[in-house]
Amino acid sequence: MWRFITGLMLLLVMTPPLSAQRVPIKIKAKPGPVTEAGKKYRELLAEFGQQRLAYSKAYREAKTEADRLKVRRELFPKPQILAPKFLALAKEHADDPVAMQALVWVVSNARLGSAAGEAIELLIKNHVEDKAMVAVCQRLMRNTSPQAGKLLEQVLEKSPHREAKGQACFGLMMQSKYAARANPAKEADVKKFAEQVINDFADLKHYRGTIGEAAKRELYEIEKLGIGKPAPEIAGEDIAGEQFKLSDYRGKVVVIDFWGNW
Amino acid sequence: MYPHERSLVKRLAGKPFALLGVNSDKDRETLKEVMTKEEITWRSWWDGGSTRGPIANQFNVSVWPTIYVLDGKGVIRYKGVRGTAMDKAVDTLLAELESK
Repeated sequence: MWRFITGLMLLLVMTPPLSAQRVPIKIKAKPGPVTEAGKKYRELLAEFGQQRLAYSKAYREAKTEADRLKVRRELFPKPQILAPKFLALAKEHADDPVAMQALVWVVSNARLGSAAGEAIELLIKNHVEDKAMVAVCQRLMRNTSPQAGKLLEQVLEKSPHREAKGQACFGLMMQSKYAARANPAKEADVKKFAEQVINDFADLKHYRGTIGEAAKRELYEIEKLGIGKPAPEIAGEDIAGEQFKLSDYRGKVVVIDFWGNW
Repeated sequence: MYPHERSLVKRLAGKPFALLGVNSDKDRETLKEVMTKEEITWRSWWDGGSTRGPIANQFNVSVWPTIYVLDGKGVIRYKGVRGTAMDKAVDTLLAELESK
């Protein structure tokens, strides 16, 4: 039986196949004057919307597990197919405000496709000082590609917006954290960016808390809960109400399993 | 999870090994019934009836299940290993313990 609940962030991190299949994020198109580019952008959004509708309708109507599997395989919306069109639109109308929206759509929805890298390069080149980079940085913190890292570095260095700088700094901390799983030397970067977040950007929002709190948790994780660190002592009651301690088990190999029957 | 943990505990009976739980369920009485039904023989700390209990907090836990594997000295050696990876981690540390 499945019995995990989790913060969305960690779920996405730990189950890449699921995150690849999650229903993509909708980007709100701002009303504003309708330029030619704006019209094209809305058409592309509508096209993607149609795909999503067709998929959910077919899924609802599928009768058997095999049918549902077939629908999933054949009709699940694939943003990476539309991504080159969004990218072409952004290139063709580089001066239109819609260009940035189109690029953001690509990096948010099609981060597994090849268009994402190019979209990130264009965001760096043309929009690094834009306030909307706040959202881009938040979306890229789980993207470990070199381009994503470069974008965050550039925003941190060049953005005139404190909030964008802060989210970029936090994103760099998260990217270093993922990189540290394969390469423990990267822990030094996690520390560096976490300290910068805590010193300069601690009050900025992150889910229900702030990036400062999240950065403190990362520092604590490295300093107290890293591989090679002595586990903190646990002392408390068991289910029947009897006291016991983790240190009672010194000399044994111990698995600590945080669990719940849900 | 339960069947996997059950077989691990069974296989390593008599070895210097312990599986310890930290439980974040709300209701202790219901939990006792589940433990009987699922044959959960290993010991668990009761973390105050909440996923924000003091022990989960102390270990930065925000995902369940979360696994830590400690060696005989109480040092954290593996994190987040599940299924066969957990078995392998435990076997490695047991071999290390026995070779000394």
